[in-house]
Amino acid sequence: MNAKSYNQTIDSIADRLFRFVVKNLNKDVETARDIVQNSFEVLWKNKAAVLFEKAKAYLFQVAYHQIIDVYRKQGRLLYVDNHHENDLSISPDLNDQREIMHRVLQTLPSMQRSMILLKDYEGYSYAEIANILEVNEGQVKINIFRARKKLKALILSPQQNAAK
Amino acid sequence: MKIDLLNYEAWMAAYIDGELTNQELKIFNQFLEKHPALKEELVAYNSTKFIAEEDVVFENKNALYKKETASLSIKKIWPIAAAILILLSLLPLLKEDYTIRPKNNVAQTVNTSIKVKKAPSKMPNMAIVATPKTNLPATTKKQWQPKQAPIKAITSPKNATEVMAGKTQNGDHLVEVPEQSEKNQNTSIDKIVLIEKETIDERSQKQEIHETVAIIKNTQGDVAVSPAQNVSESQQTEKEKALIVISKETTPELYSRINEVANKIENNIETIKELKNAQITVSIGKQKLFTINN
Repeated sequence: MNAKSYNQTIDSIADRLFRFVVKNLNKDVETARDIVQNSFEVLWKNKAAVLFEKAKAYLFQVAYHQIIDVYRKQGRLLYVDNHHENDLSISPDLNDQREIMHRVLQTLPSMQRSMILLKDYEGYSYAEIANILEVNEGQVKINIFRARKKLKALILSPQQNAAK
Repeated sequence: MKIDLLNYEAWMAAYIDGELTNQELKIFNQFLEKHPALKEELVAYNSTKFIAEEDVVFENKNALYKKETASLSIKKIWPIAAAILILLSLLPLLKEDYTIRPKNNVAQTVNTSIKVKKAPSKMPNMAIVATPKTNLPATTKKQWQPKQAPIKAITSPKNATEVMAGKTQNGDHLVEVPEQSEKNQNTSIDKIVLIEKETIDERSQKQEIHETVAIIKNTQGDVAVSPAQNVSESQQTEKEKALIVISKETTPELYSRINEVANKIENNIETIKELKNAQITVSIGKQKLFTINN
């Protein structure tokens, strides 16, 4: 990868990567910005070893590792299966669908959240997500299913409460 | 995997993620046809999909852009380096002193220690060449074939006949043989060729030009080489000789006189006691050619 293709990667990936990171970090924009910048610096240092077409997945993988580091420092790393329904903190009066979705997303364990974002935002397949997050494809499939099941319940709940 | 009421939600999640194969899609649709009440649940699952917020952007892209550094890679540098090395290796060769033979002159030598100068106008074709053993192209030169009495090689049986080093004694520039370095003093010269080359001088209307190679130095002595002798034999027996080419344009009279002088020296040098220790200088006209040290 040369400077030209690296700059092209910035143009096409930086915004996407930033959305992925900032959603994972609950709108911590400053930290998200630092992570994006660091991720591209890592890519530049390793440009000789990273193909242009693989740069996007590489950046998401590097950014994900940094997100995990942030979680660890903040002591709020939430693994896949140690959460419960009490994490739900959505207020019934929230009628902004976008904000609702954001709040629902924050209730998910970090890995599930990343899987959902990679799937919905970036359209990666289960296999590609498994490669980026360095887990097996079966884990991706089951975790996304669990995440959607929970999301469905959370999304439906306010509506059901509102209907009552 | 078979779909049923216990696992259909996993199918629904895979469905909205686009992870079902065509065969699985067919099975899933058939299942929904059988259980239409589940379609509402499918809509609920579909609502769990997140849509990227396009207005959220990374605003500091300019800080990320890189410029191509102007550095030479090894691939670009190595041909240049190789060319420089080759040029450097050729430099010593460029310091060699090459003297190229003129068209109507015999003298040509590739010799780093002995220079050749053309004779002055009176004897325009006279030159002296000292040739190391590896540089004498004896096989390429025509062997000298005497028409009259041959000019015999002049050697002293006991002592060496030496080339006059440096300029000739009278200060002219006919012959200039630089002082030999230690290295050159040890140079073995084992080819002695007596050559007469006949050419046509257009100015003097087909006047013969005789180019003669004479033995000037024979440090081992005891060998008199005549033009008729086989050159290869002399090459085998004589190990260190300096070679001087006397290129001159002569008339038959002058030529016979030189012959006569040569014969006299040869005949008398052994018998005349006074000459045994004398230094004999041979000249043509005012030009001193060589000195014989007995």
